Amino acid sequence: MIELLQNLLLGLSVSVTPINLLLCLVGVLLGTLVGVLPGIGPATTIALLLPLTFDIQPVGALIMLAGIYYGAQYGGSTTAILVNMPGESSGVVTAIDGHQMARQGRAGAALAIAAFGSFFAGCVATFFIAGLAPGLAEIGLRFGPAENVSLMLLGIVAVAVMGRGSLLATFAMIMIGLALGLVGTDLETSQPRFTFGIDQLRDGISFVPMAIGLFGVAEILRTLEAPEQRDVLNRKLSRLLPSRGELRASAMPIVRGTLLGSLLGILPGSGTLLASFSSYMLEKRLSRTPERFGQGAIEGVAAPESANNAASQTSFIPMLTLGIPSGAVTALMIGALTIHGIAPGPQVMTQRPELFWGVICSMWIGNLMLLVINLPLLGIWVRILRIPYNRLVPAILLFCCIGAYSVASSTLDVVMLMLFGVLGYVLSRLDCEPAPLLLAFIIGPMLEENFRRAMLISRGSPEIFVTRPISLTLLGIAAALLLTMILPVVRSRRQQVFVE
Amino acid sequence: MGATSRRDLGILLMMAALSVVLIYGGQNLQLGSTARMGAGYVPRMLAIGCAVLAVVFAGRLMAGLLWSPRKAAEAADVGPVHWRALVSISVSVVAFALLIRPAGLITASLVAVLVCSVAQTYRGWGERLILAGGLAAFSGLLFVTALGLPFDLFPTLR
Repeated sequence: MIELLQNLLLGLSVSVTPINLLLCLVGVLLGTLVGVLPGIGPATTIALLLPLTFDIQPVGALIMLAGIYYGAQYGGSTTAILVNMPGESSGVVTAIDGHQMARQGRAGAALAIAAFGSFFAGCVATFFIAGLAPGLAEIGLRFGPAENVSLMLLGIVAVAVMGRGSLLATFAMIMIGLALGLVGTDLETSQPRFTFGIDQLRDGISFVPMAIGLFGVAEILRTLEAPEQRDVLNRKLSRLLPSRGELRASAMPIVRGTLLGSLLGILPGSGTLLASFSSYMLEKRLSRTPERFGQGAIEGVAAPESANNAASQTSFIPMLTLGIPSGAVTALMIGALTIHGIAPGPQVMTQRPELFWGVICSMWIGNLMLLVINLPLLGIWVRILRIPYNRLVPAILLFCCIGAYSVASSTLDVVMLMLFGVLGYVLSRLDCEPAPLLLAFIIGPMLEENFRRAMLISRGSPEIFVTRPISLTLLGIAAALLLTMILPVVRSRRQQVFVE
Repeated sequence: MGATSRRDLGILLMMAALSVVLIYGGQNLQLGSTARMGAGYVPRMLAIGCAVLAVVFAGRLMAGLLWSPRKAAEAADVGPVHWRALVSISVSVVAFALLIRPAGLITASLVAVLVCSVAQTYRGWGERLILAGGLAAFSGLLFVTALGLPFDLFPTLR
């Protein structure tokens, strides 16, 4: 306990330096600004803003990225509530009741409850991480190549199982991501692989243009396809603060949502959708008046928003302690860390404690900033939402181009941006998600390296993966997850969940 | 053809193409042994994985077409491809890529925004030009003046 407090104190001392506070503030503001734009989710926002953090020292960069993430998430909720255009899957749940509340003129209350809930969830999740992370990192330090391989396989399986849509299609996305990860110089033999004679590809496919293309450019193409519809905006926001009755009604949902979200966020691959969805269903089940859900029930905003925020924070646990991304957002963070020359993994906590604890404390500070800043600035966000989409598209596209170019001043990167934009668009036409692809691209090289080392240790025998207890356990969990997908009962339930 | 079978066909083609690329692109790489893998071992494994997935999707596609043509059509169909947007945005990005080094950020931004704006409705070219000029000036100020990125603003002879 004393140690935990000491660690948090160290983190606070790192995160309250003026420069880091400023970076956190800038991150939260920029994240909200971009996240508010209709149809743009947190992953897209981070991909777009990633190049801005390259010149900052690693701790500050990660703090700013975390700020961008929470800002984007909150901006996304604002858009979901006000115009029913959620930028990411978990916002869909908030939009169900949040948008109804907005239609009834209670948008202010919905947004305030979302902010309160997110802040409470952020506080709890910060302690959750601080308490849980050291133990996990200690286990992580004992991992050898075989355990790493099993853990990464578990991560990939979890993403496939928890994801939306068909399991086989997700496996296809993972294959594409792994294959793209092969491009570049082989680590052991220094032979160029799949570079097709292009020298710049020897360092591998650049991660930033890929992410911006798959999320940013593809998103623009997708949004241009659908006719836009925004209605509530012209109505005036009458009351900003929720009434006492609304506060009382949302207190327990916030607590329950936070706990559920914190737990579900740790699971690799689950992301925030599972958290916000299950907390919504839980509240609906516990409610004495379930028929109000979908008609503007404040519990239907409070619970998923808290769960969503708690999960987005605890999803950092596997990334910070084991170096394994659990979704698109943490994959982007790992990419950013690698660009800064930090290999994410259990050693980060012992070798760079100021980075680790600084980031964790900044998460809490970022949440506090969101609460203080966003409600007064609501008018500005609403005004941004009124910008017609045809004026936004060229601006977003231009920033995508500049972002891709700024990484290495490389023309090839901008061309890659276009190719991945088109690929992302094709995938969305085929109803496939780009997140598993990006995840596999990040994991791929680590997986290959560890796999080859494990096989070298075992002199070519794959038994090494089942004779080591930790590795066997991890593979067992992965197999169990896959089995649940094949069992008809779970399968139909899952379909039901995603259809609703 | 319904949305589900179209998706299956799309993924089938992608997996087949990927496995061909992996095998041909990796044919000069050493395979090595299971204990000492060469640079080509893992690519070959992936190629086999892709081929297996392609076969599975082919099977599913055939089964769907043979036994339940109705079910395949059930999935919601997506709208037509917005070709104008796709082409104008692709050309816009490539134009930016080709122009940024010789012609500088301002020129590249102007051209990229103008090309991109072709796909959308505006009140005439006046609005497009104002938008392009404004965005070019803004990005120049933000990225070069304020953030200090090492871009040329205007065409330079080198």
